[in-house]
Amino acid sequence: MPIEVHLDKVLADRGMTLTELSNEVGITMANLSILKTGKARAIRFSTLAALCDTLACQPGDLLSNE
Amino acid sequence: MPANVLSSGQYASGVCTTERSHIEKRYGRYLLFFDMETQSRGGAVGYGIWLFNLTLRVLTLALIVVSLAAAPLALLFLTGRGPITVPAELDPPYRISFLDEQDRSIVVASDFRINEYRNFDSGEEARYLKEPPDVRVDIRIDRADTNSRAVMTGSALGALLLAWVTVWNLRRIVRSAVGGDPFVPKNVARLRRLAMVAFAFPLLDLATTIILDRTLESDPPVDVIGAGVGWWVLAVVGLAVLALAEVFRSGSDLRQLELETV
Repeated sequence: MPIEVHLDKVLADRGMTLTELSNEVGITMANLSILKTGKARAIRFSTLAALCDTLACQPGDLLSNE
Repeated sequence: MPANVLSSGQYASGVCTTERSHIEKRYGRYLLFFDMETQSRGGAVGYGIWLFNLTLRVLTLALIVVSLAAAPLALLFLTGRGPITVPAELDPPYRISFLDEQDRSIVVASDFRINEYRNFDSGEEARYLKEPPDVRVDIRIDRADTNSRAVMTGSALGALLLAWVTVWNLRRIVRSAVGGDPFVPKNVARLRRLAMVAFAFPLLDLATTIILDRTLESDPPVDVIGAGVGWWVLAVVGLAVLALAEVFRSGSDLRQLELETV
């Protein structure tokens, strides 16, 4: 997949765990796992917006093109 | 009200739950076969799929009964003890005459049983027929004709197998629909199998007819008609099921995409 997900790095920078993020954003652990491990084929804008709001970051911090 | 008597509402929920648990423990494996989930009725799934599911269960039971009888019946027929008749068309020459002056029916006389009459309009006579009429007869396969009996028995068992494949695959498709997730790759394969079965039925009929034409010894000669399976109908059904399989494939792809969309 040419799009890389940097969720791990952003979480580490903010000292947050995946479980905490899941509780904050309201996305299941399973879906966050899919996203984190690069198995997601698509992400909804609403999900991306919720992640960025919670992590106080920009979409470009979470996603990059190889 | 005495303390040990529940109100009607409690009775309905409390005792029924206990009773169902007892039933499930004792007859659980049979219930799995029947899959009697009452919430299916107009609850989680529509009445249509519920009714279809019920019909398939009844068909499965009928197939089980037929299958249990198949082996002894096959033995009976192969050993020449059961009657087997084959529909056929009588080839000319044959004698045609009237029953009487009032009856305008044709009686085809030959060495075997007559089973069809052709009615003619008043005033019309057989000798004015320009072509010999199609005369259909039932040929009773002789006891000693083991080849023909084997062909008929094999054909019947083949049809039974195809029926099992149909019901088996349909039940699994319907079960996935009842479970709320029908668009899975397995259902695509099942639908393609059903389409192949629709094409296989007339092929089985054709093969049986061709082989029987060679094995049947009858005088005068006959042309075996076969079971009269509607070729065109089954071909259309097969194509429709193949098209449905492609629809399910698209649905399965969309479902997979949805699963992988965060």
